[in-house]
Amino acid sequence: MTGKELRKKIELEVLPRVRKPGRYAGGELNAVVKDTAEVRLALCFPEVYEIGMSSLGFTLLYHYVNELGWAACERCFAPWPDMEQELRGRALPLYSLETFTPLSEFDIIGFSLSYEMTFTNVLTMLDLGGLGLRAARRPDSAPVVIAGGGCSVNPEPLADFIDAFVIGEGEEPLMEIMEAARRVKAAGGGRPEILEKIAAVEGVYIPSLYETGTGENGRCTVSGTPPAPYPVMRRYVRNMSNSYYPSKLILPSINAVHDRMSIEIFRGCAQGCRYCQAGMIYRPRRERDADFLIGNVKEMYRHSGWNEVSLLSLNAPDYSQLAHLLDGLSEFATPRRVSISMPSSRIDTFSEEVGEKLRLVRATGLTLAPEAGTQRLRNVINKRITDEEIIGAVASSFAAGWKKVKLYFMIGLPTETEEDVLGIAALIKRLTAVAGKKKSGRKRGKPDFTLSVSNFVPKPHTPFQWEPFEPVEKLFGKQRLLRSVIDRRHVKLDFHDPHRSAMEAVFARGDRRIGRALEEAYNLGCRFDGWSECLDADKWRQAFSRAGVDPADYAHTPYKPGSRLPWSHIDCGITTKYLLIERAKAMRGDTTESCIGNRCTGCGLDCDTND
Amino acid sequence: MTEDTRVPYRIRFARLWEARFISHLDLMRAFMRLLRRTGLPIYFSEGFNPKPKISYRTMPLSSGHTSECERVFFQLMEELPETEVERAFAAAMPPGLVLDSIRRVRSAKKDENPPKAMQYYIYFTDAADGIGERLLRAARDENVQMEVLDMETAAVAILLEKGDSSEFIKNTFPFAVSAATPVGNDYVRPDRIVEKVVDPEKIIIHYHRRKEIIRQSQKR
Repeated sequence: MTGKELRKKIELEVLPRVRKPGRYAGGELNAVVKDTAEVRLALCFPEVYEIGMSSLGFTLLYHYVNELGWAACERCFAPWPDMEQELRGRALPLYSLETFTPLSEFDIIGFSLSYEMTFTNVLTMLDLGGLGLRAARRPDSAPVVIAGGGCSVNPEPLADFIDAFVIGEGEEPLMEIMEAARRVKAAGGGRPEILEKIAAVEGVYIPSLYETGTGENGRCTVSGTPPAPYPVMRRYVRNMSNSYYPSKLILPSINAVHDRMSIEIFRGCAQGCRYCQAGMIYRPRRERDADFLIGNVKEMYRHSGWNEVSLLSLNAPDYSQLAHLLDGLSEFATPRRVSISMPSSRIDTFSEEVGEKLRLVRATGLTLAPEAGTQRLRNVINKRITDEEIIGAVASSFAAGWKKVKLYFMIGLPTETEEDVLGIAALIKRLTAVAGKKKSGRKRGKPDFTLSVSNFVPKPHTPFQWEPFEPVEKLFGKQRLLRSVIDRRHVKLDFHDPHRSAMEAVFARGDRRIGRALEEAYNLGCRFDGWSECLDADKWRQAFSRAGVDPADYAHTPYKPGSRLPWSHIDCGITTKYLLIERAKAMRGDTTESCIGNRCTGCGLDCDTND
Repeated sequence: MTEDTRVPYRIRFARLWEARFISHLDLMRAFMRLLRRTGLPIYFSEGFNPKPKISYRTMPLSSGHTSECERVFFQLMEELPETEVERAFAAAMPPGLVLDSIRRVRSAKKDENPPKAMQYYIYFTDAADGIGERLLRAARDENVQMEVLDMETAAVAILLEKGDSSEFIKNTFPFAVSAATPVGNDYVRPDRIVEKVVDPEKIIIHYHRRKEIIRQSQKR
């Protein structure tokens, strides 16, 4: 069946029968469709279209690869179970949105992994794409399956299913992989030869080239001998200032989660929050040039007509050119009624001047992430803000006319006591009091607080990577406690499901054996585990027991500092020594300053951005 | 001219095969962005969240349906020749939405020629079991004018995608009817009539909005 025939069949027989058919139809403005190419890459996002199309890394790589005249990059997203069933019922393969080509006919399949709970969807896509689950059983004629993204810093749970992982930022290594595939194909080679070539690309980890051993608690560890590079070094873009950024972005035809112009103002973060994996694995902090970004937004607007521009980074107020950027953007945006937003801000670096600029076009809410309720615990996690700063930020944002405040907290953090949990409620009480106070001559609307309370999940390559995940019953207890003491007339409380967080912990800290449970769960029908309506705890229990894996052991057993961890063969450039020093400081309640404008904190990266 | 000059225009466009799987809300969103892409001096609503002022004048189209006669009213902040506005739109239309015409109209609020009825062409992948007879009977019960179409006419109407031949359409859909349903309180969704008779799980049905019937007096 040709792509055109498959397309007709899908459009006529399948799409009228599924929910949100726009997810599977393609044909968006600015999508890149190439009839011929020397190397074809299917970029796969193991979530629904609306989420995948909102991923910055995914769209960036899509357009970047398509800049190559000789390569084609097409997209594929995880089918919702209704679509999966329709495809299976008709024995139709999973296909790319650009040319309706089955995944099995591509040269390279590239998964973008940003969340552990999408792993069963990876298996769905491999299976429906006609590739088979296990890498070792794929024939030489099959495409090379690669994967990258945030989750690849602990690739082990997926190691049996993926041929090669790209550790770190994808732009450079993906280009090198495409080049290698081009040369191999021109010489008549296929999958084994491509794998052999890309083994030499820095940042590429091919699990089949490594030996496994048994570490502490019976965990599976990985070691390598030459020519396999050991450890595998994370790749990152050295010079970010004018690094590629697309300006003619695909316009999702159905409403994406982030349906707007997103611009990445910098990568990495200097704050050093100790629970935060992104804050460690994307170091060093590298800024893009403000004038480049302003020009980019103008182009993006011309090609899209989006009415909002969003400044993406791990902590926007840290951006050294922020005032200049906001001036340049509002000059363009204001007359066009385009709004500017800036999620994820640390209060200690947030100035009123910036708030005023953001308010120019559209009043939005204030989002703050104190993460912990007491100063003591905030010091432990290195979130260096005081109650007074939080209260001040909320007061000034209400004074400026913003009526919505969203606050993020975590429970289950290392060293947390009941006092810390009650501290969240006490802080909220002070905040609602401040927000409700009337200023002379000015009427305030009712304050609107949303409190999102998540469960701390220890992540690899952070100072808390050795810590256990807190028992689920204890987390439920803390949720009950908060519910009983917070006045919910003014505050909307939003809790994360501790069972789902526990699963995240298993996959985040897991080893290669977890992959067996993943396969069992997939076979039992687990899909979209990140969606509360889809996560099936019973099936997962069954899957773990069939695989002989005790999830409680994986979630709750601490790792011993100094021991080999399931991800010890991956080197993110941050030294274990630094992580241990940070851990010790955490336990003492000592903070570490941001490395912007301060002394180098010695994380181990050879970084010249803050000399 | 004062600052809040508002000049109303009406666009007619077709929503074709490749854009048929989006919902009405998504189509509205797409239209807002289209307006912005034209670079024309769009009139925006006031308030915290300014939006182009548009009014969608045809009945919302269901996902999966195609149409040749969608109409939207929008406003500009200055009087521009229709041809110039058309040129700007033609360059900005997304795949699957095809510009028919743009006219300067007298009022953004009042429709000068409100449609009285909506004509659909409805295509079926199977004509077995005397479907035609049963459809016509069901339509009569609902006061909807329906007739069986000759396939030459019917196939041309949905030759919407580049590369499709009328042979392909005729092979795919051997049978089609036209149905005119009154707009307003008596409006009956054509799929409601059809699905009384045909099980959409068994036969694939495609709905195509062929035209708006402006004045019933035309029939005289």
